[in-house]
Parts: sequence; structure tokens; C-alpha cells
Amino acid sequence: MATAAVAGTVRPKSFWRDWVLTVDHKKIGIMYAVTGLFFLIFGGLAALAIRTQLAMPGAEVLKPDSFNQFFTMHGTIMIFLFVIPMLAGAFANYLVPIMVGAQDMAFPRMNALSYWLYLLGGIGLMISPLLGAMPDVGWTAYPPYSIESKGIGLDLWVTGVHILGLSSILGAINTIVTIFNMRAPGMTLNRMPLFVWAMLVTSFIQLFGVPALAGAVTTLLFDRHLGTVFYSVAAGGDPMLYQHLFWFYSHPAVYVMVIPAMGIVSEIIPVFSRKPIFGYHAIAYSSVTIGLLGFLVWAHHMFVAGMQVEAGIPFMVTSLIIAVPTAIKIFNWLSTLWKGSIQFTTPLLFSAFGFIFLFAIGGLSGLFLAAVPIDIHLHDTYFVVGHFHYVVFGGTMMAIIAGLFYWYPKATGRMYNEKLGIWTFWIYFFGTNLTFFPMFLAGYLGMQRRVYDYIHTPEMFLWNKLATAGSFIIGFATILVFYNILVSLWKGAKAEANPWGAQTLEWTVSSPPPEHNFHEIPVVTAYPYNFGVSGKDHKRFSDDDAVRV
Amino acid sequence: MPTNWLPESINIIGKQVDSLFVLIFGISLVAFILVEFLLIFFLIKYKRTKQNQEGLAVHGNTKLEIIWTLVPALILVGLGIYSTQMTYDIQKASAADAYEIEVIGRKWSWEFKYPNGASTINKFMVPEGKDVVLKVTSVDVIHSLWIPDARLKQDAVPGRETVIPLGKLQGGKEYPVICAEYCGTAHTKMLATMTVGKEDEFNKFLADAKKASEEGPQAGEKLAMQSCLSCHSIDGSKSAGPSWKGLYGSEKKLTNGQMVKVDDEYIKESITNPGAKVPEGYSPMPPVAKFDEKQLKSITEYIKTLK
Repeated sequence: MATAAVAGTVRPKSFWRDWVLTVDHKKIGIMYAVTGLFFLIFGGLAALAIRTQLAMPGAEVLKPDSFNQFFTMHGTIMIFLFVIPMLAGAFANYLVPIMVGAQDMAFPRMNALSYWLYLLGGIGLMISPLLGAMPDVGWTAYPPYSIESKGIGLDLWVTGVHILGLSSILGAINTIVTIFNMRAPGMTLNRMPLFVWAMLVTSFIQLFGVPALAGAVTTLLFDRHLGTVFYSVAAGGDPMLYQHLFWFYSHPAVYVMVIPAMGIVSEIIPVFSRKPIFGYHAIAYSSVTIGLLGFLVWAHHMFVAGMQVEAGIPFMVTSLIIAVPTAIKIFNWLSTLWKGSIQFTTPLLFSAFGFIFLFAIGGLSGLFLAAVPIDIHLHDTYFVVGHFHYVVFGGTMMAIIAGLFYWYPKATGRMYNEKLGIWTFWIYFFGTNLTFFPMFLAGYLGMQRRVYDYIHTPEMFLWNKLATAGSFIIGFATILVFYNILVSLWKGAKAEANPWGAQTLEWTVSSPPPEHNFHEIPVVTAYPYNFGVSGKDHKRFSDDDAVRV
Repeated sequence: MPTNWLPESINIIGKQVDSLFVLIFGISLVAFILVEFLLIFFLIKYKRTKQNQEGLAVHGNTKLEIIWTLVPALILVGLGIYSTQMTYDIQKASAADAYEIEVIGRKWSWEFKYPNGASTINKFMVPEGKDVVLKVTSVDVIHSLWIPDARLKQDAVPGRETVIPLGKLQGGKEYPVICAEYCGTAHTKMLATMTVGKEDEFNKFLADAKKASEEGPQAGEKLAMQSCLSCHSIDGSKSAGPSWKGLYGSEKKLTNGQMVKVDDEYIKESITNPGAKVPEGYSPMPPVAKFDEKQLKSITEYIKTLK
């Protein structure tokens, strides 16, 4: 991706000045994307190693300790180094300024700093395998186990998470200020693209949530090395404090991974249905609702952690209620498809058939876990693993790939291979279901999480073999995505400014866009989804308030 | 709705949880079919063709949107009320006269303590038809005691006592008891089994367990866990002290160059007078708890089992 953005335009600058010292939000976005995809390779390989072991229990593909290290690295890389930086870093950086009609982020140098901090934190996390001291505590790092866990791996982990958190906070401030202060004339809040709405909510979540995580991991580090006793029972500390702090951030973090993905889907579906998005305001405000409610559900991760059982009830209620704004979005997307003129492109398939179909399964399986009595049975089992992989892989990952293909022509000036893209989608769809659906069954029947064997339940063998087969299919599909992205850089047809006929501002400029986005700041006169029969006679962004039937 | 397609649960709470599961499953299934049917139907029906080049310019429908906000909200409120009721039932389920068994989690085994002072490791029995309550705690890191067949679990947290109200149990098999909270290297193998015993069966079990807790290898194992196993491994791995695996009957070289055969006498001397004969490569053992003759014998018996 990186080289092609340069290929289309003549730039006399050296690589050093052009990329390393750049403060251009588009280049920083691309750097985030390339780095994130690079980390995805390691997160994915760790997943395949875990699944291989689980298909052959007893064979010791991985030693027990290695297995524990691999699932820790898998979770940490995927969440902190791939999904969040991809959405809140790559997509937000590339799209937010240009979508609101600004020439750059509000603080371009701070934006560059966010990226370099991300890279630094990433290196901090990834260096432990090279030192032979990978952390083995799971991505949640619960004390007291994480305090006892020996080796520098966990200290690097804490430091890495800290630096990544700083990067996130700076990025969030930048995004919020950009959205509030840098919009082009006429771009009212209610004319903002839905992706921008999503990033506004996400940035607020990061801003308010990350400090709690920082507090949790800092106290952990102090307990490990400075003799403090935050989490030491013998000296009056309480290990549950960590869980409260950790989940106060890490549950909302799930929405950091999902709301931008929903934003991407909301951009793609109207364009390929040639229809205005159905219920623009409902979609925008439901993101806000999810963002607010997201901070009120954290203890549903702790129903069996030692709280009184009925203390979970308020959290059960909020966890159930949060399904409502999510359901609203799904109904809105379905209504947008209704009576549309749907073009089966790769981004559309990944959004509609990928995100909506699979996320529905992920969301509905969440209802079981929200209910205290069932969660008492299912907590820390493979049912949970299945649930969040349907949400984060079936949902978010599908949206990320949809977005990668959708904005690929804009960022690189080249078209990707559509036929290969569609094949890739169907392979993903099959592989995802084959991998994650059996986990629901294994979980209910008695298979706990984070185990390299399941000796007590030999009947799990079939479900695990299917899941492992599925994971290799997913791996293969991911190789196809990389292949498509790389080969199309050279072989792809030249992209025009607006290959999809979309109406958001980034499509009004050349592909790739010029350095400062707009030669003249655009004046916005309507909201960006005026597709359809009645919209035919209107020019793009012509004056037209929402038509309601 | 019938719950008999789920694996059988062995107590009343388990059956209630299953019925709630089936209820939510039913609601989810309807929602799932609705969403996926509409999705696939719309995708196929409104596929772009020569005749269908533009979508309908509809921006929204307030009435429809209010309906599809309220309907799920009402369903979820109903579900919330029903689940809340059941949550209180679970909380109250521990009857005052319930039979209490203490459970201690440690890396990586479960210990069960009975009111008569007996205790067992990784195996326990509950009396059939009596209300049973487990009081769970941990001596090191967080574990989680899960009995899938009873649909119940609680974390074992150091410094805190959590309660698992099993209720009245029925069933004639061995049921797996699992550690569900990740706790390190051997988390996977931290397994126990539970059986449900008829009255005489249970009484015999208790008597046997009491005897075994007082002397013999099992008592020794427990003492070792409390006092010895932080420095001595039982799997041959390196630690501060010599591993106990294959120790009994082996020949050891001492720091003064002499050879010694590890037998009852040597083990007893090493525990009571650690400085006397220190094996080569190790520093003298720090003083440990005072053990009486019976306890020393039990520990030796335990070491003998580690071949």
C-alpha cells in the first residue's frame, strides 16, 4: 500500500522526509495500516499454533508453558496491536479529516507521535519472544498470578500496554478536536458521515477508559517490583480491584473494536445499494448510546469472581439493554438493503453477508452470557471464546477487510482484484463458521478456556478438530487478502476519483488524494447518502433535507 | 420448552439454568432466523439488474423505528426480570442446615475438607439427597471451581470465601470438577471428580477419608503441600531442594563427599536436623514446621509413592 500511494504522484522528497517525518494524516493512516497488518501475521500464526495443539491433544505440539505464552501473545497482539490500531489508527486517521472536509488532523505532529508511540509499544510487546521470555498470563493478566509470573516478558507487556495507551489517548484527543473544530462550512453534526460519528464516540471511550487500564497495569508493575500491596491478600490488598479497573476499560474497548466497524458498514451499504441509509439519526445516536452504556456493563465479566451473586443484577440489566441500540442498527441496515439496487462487490459482501450475518450470531450469543444464571455456567468456557470471536472476528474483522477493499482505490490509486475478493469472502465465511460455531457446543458441554488439552471430555475431540480445520481455512483466506492487496499495487487498474459513485467527501478528490486533500475547502449543503430515484436529479451535496416516508 | 436435548443436570439449579438457556435460545433463534432470512432475501431479491439501477429514496420511517426499538426492549426487560428472579433463587439456595464442604484451590489441585476433619485431594463425594454447599477459597492464585453437570461455578479467590450452593444432588456417575480460571502451567490438569453417594456409602467414604488424612501417603501429600513443595518438586524438575521424584532408595552424594542411601532414617534426619547431611549442590534446608512421628512417617510414605 505504501509504495503505491507514492507511485501515483510525483514527489521529489526522499523516503525519510516523505514517510518517516511525515505529518500528513493519510500517510500516517497508511503507516498504521501496514504496521497493523504486519502484526496481524504474528497474531494469526499464534492462533494457528494454538489450534494445531488443540486438534492433537496429548501430542505436545506446544509444551504447556509455550501454549500459555502463545494464547497470551495471540490475544494481546490481536487486540492491542491489530484491531484497535487498525480502526482507531488507520481508518480514523485516513478518513476522519478528509470526510469532514479538513486538510489534516487538528494536531498533525501529535498525530505522527501517536503512530511512533504505537510502533514503540508494539516493539515492546513483540520483543519478549526474542528474549525468550514471553508473558504467560493471558491478555487480562489477572493478579495474583501475574505478580508471581517470573521474567521480564510481563514487564515488557505492561510497559508496552502503557505506551499503546498513551498513543490511544493522544489519537483520541486529536480525533475529537478535529471533528469538533475542523469541519468544512456546512458540515453540521447531522451531515457527518456515519463513520465520523462512530469515531467520535470511539474516541471518547478511549479518552475516558484508557486511564483505568493504565492504573490497573501500573499498580501491577508496582506490586511486582516496588513492594506495594495493591493486590496482595496477605497484606490487605484485593485482587478483585484489578479486575474492576481492567474491565472498566476493557469492556468499553470491545466497543472501540465494534463501533468503528459499524461505521464502516454504514458507509458501504448505502453506496452499493444506491439508497440513502435508513434512519441516519437512529444509527448515529445508537452509537452514542452504546458508548455510554458500554461503561456500565464491566462487571458482567465478574459474575463468578467472588462478588455476591445478586450484585451482578444491575450489570445484567445494562448488558441486556445494550442489545437494543445494536438491534436498531441491524434493522436499519436491513431496511437500507430493502428495495435497493444491490451490487455484489467485495466490500458489500464483507459488510452485509459478513458483518451483519456473523455479528448477529455474536450479539445473540451475548444474551446468554449477560444473564447471570447462565453465565455462572458458561463463564470462562469455550462458549465465551465462540461468542467474542463471532463479534470480533466475524464482525469487526469482516468490517476491517470490507473497509480495506472499499477505500483501497482511494488510498492507492489502483483497483483491487474483484473476483479474487469475492472468492476470499466466501472462504472466510465458511472458515469463520467452521472455526467458531463448534466452540459454543464445546463450551456448554464442559470445555474450559485456556487449556491445551481436554482430558476430562474426550467427546470434545470432534468439535476441536472442526474448529482447527476452520482456522486453517481462515489463514488461507487471509493470505488471499494480503496477495490481493500487494499484487494489485502493481497490477491493479488505475482507479478513478469515485469508482463506487459514493457521496462522502473523500471521493470528490483524486485517487490518491493530493497532499492537503482539497485544493479548495468544500462547502457542504446536504448529508452524504442522497442516493436513489428521487436523488437522481440532484447534484451531489445539493440542498436536500432528509425525505421521510 | 423441553430441555432434554441438553446434557442432564444433576441438581435443581442446573435444571432451572437449562430452562432459562432454552428460553433465551428460543428468543435468539427467532431473532436469528428473522435477521438472516431478511438479509438473504433482500440481497437476492434486490440484486442490481438492468431494470433495477437505483434504490428507492427512503430515508427512514419513524413509526417503524419506534416499533423495532420498543419490541426488543420489552423482550429484554422481560428476560431481565425472569433472570433476576432466578439469580435471587440461586443466592438463597444455600439452606441453613446444608452440609458444608470446604474447598481449597492451589496450584494445581483441589482439596476438599469435611466437617469431621477428613480431607481428600482431587476426589470428593457428596451425600445424596442432602442440601450441599461448597465454601471455596484459594491459597495462591485465582482458580475457579466448575461442575458442568451442576451448571455451577465460582472463582476460588485468595483471602475470600465464595459459596457454591449445589442443592440436593442425584446421580450415579463420576462428574468432572474443573478449574475454569487460568492459573498457570498445569491449569489444564487441575481436575477433580465428584461422586454422589448413598448414606452408607458416604459414611464409609468419610471414615476412610478421615483415616487417610491422619496417616499414610495421602496425609503426607497434604503436609508436603503445606510445607515442602515450594522447594521440592515431585516431577523431577529443578528447584531449591532435590526433587522427590525417584528419590526414595536412590544414592545421594553429600557436600562432605560421603554417599548416602535415601531411606526412612535419612528422610527423618533431613527433616528434623536439616544441617546434618546436605546433598551436594544444595544449601542446607531452612527449618520447617515440627512434625510428630506419625507425620514424618506419612511424608516418607508419600515420598515412596513418587517413583
